[in-house]
Amino acid sequence: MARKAVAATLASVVLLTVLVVADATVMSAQDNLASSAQTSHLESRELLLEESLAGGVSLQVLAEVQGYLSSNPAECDGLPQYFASISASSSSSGEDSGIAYSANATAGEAPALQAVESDNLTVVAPFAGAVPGVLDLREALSVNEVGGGGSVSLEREETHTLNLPIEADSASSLCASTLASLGAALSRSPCNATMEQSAFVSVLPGLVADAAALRFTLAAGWVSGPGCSAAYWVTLVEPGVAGATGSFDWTVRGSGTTA
Amino acid sequence: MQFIDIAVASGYAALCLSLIVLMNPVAPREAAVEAGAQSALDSAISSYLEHVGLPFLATSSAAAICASAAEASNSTLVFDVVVQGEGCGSLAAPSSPLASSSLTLDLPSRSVEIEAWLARQ
Repeated sequence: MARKAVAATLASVVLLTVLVVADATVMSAQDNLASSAQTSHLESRELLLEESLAGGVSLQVLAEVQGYLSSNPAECDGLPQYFASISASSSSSGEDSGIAYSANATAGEAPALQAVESDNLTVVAPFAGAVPGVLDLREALSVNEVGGGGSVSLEREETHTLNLPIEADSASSLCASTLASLGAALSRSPCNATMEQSAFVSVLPGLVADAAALRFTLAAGWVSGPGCSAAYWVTLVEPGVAGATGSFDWTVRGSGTTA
Repeated sequence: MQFIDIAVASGYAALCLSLIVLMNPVAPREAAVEAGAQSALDSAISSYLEHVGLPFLATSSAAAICASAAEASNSTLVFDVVVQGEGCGSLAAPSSPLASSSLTLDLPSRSVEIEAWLARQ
């Protein structure tokens, strides 16, 4: 009887030990699964944050450039300098779901391009990539994220190309052709205001039509200057440019004098 | 002596049973399922962002944004977009979602929050 009792006790001890070990093994596996799932969640959250941060600061940069363009008219004789002076930057930092993040973007005029250039920052489409003839911007972008107490981090240093669809090349050619036509028309009859006005009126509709064909509105005028000279001016407006924060007007002004 | 044997065996049995109860594998399994659901929601928000684009969220009317959120929602996934504190009233969140996630966007002209819920099947 005593032997049976000992055997039963030993069997129970072994059984319970096996049960505890098995439970611990399952628990450990589930812990690992939970840990992996948590890490995976952190990674997917960081990717989502990266995408929104990169797009957000890029859109802020585009908005800053758009604000500059809409509030600062360009001069016909200084278009290259006007575009070269464009500079914008934006940054964002904070914490989301246990992930500390920071993002920075700076942009300036991109080198002239001959063909459409795509860009993988598609979250800001259609302003991602370069389009010949419009204002293209080169953006330096950096995003840093650290989550899970430093266990999951993400660093991104990239260069992107963005665009704002103002017709920069068209404005440049319209400036040259319009000012040349006005100068030529007003030079034909110096010291005769009546004939000068007649020449101005005759050439203006063609210039307005040329500008309209390139999506610009044109206004022009002239006054007699000292001696027999004439001063003339032109204002080109590209209305309703589809910008990153809504439509805006872009203005280019030019002037000249006849000898 | 017999009394001590019984006490030791009972104590060991009680200890083992306590360990089995304490090491409950259900809790970490549920945590893994929840983390997986959160990842799925974040991927869904990412897909929605890629689909509509940030310029759309920065410039479009609340009605257009709500329409895009409704279009992206389905029987298990519900989106809502809060623009300047105003959400889409027509999109009701599930009463007991499996997981929920949100993303706040500081856009040039407005603040936009995308909310998403995954319903239990």
